[in-house]
Amino acid sequence: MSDGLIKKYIPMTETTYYTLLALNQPRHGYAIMQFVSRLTENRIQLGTGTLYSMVGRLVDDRVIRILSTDSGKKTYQMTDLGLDLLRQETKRLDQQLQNGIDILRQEGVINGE
Amino acid sequence: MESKRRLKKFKWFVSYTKELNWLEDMALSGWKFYDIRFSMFFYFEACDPVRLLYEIDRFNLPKNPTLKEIRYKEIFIGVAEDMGWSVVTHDESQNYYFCKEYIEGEINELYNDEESRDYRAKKYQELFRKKAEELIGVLCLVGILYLALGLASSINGGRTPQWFVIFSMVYTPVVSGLYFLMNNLGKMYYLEFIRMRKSNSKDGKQDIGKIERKLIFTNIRLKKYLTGMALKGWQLEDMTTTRFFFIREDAAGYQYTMDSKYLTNRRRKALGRNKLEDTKDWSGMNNDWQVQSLADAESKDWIFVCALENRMVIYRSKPDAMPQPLNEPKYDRRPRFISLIGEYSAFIVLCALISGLIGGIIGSML
Repeated sequence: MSDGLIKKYIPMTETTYYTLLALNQPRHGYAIMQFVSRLTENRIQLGTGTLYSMVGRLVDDRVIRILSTDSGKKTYQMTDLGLDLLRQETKRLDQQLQNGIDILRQEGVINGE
Repeated sequence: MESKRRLKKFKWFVSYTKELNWLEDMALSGWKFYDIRFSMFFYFEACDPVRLLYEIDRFNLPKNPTLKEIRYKEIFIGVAEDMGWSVVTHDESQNYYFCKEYIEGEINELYNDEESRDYRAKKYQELFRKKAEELIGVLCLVGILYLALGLASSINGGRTPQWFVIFSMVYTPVVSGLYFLMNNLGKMYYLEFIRMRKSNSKDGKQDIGKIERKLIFTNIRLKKYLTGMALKGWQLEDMTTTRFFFIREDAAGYQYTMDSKYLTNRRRKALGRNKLEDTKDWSGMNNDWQVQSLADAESKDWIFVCALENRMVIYRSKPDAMPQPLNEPKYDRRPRFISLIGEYSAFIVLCALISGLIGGIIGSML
């Protein structure tokens, strides 16, 4: 994977992260939006403008690919490259989260479980 | 099958918001928009009254597009269709009209967050910037032709053809005017698109605010005007010398105040501090005074609204609050000529007057 791509996608925006999660399976635009809305309990509502510019960029960078166009509807799925980025980002987020929890616990801002 | 009743209407809009609102109103009264010609002739067919939403977008495909740019339109339309939008038609300048039925609880706008709204707004700004650029190119070409013809005819001992002189005399101001128009339209559409259909609009209709044109010469008048607008529920968001952009907010009593470099330096002087001056700043671009102005204003509980380039800063109070005045009231009534046109322009006007005077004297002596 090129360094440029890592720099571009890590850290990843929240919307990109959730879109990649959605594209673990083949999905079309509306299905991506629904999946993300459900997963985030409507906190993130991907509109047409956001979704398409992201999809366009991800296709261009080969992070996702266009699967089928037979019914006229385009379906997208994450590529191996996308999966690799998602894995790296999740690892980074995990560390970030852990650091946050540790520090806030030390300060007594949040309780230990 | 009986063919549907059709309707052709002639209307011309500068504002896209107004145009799209009108199309939505037409659908509510049973006329569905299906085509547009020359941005003026709207074609409708009869339908059951329905709440439809219309949006406009464009693809700005450059002359030498990349693969990504070619795909862009296809992917966009695909995603839009997935999300329930359909392409109605496009006009001669390749603006695409999208339509979707209003459904409660769905995302009822094409661009639903600040970032993507900004993206579309920039596309329109870019379009007009390019048009303006082309006009400058044409203007230069005519200028060069004029010089070449003049040179050629002076070598031949003749005169520049009369028709070309007249042509240039008409052409130059018209094209220059168009250039400024294009630039201003670009700015106007940018602001219009970033405000389009903000989610806080009450009836779900497009509510972007409004633009008013006014030339106000004194601070006190400006204060009164802005406070009056706030009482009617219009909050100043941005302004240029003669145009005021307002957005809809709950009506409340807001105080406004203005600050300029001159007034900031007056305050510094009153405190026995030195004047903020930059001797290297010939074109009035140094805005150190704004940093000072902001600090002064915030310490007195004023909130920043907007800055008119480097000439003036506008502050607003909290609703129904009466903060301490920023400047002495005696400055309110003075004409705000410099802060209106800028020091640089004032300098140029002065230079023009002086050179005109010198030219006149020399001319009369000869």
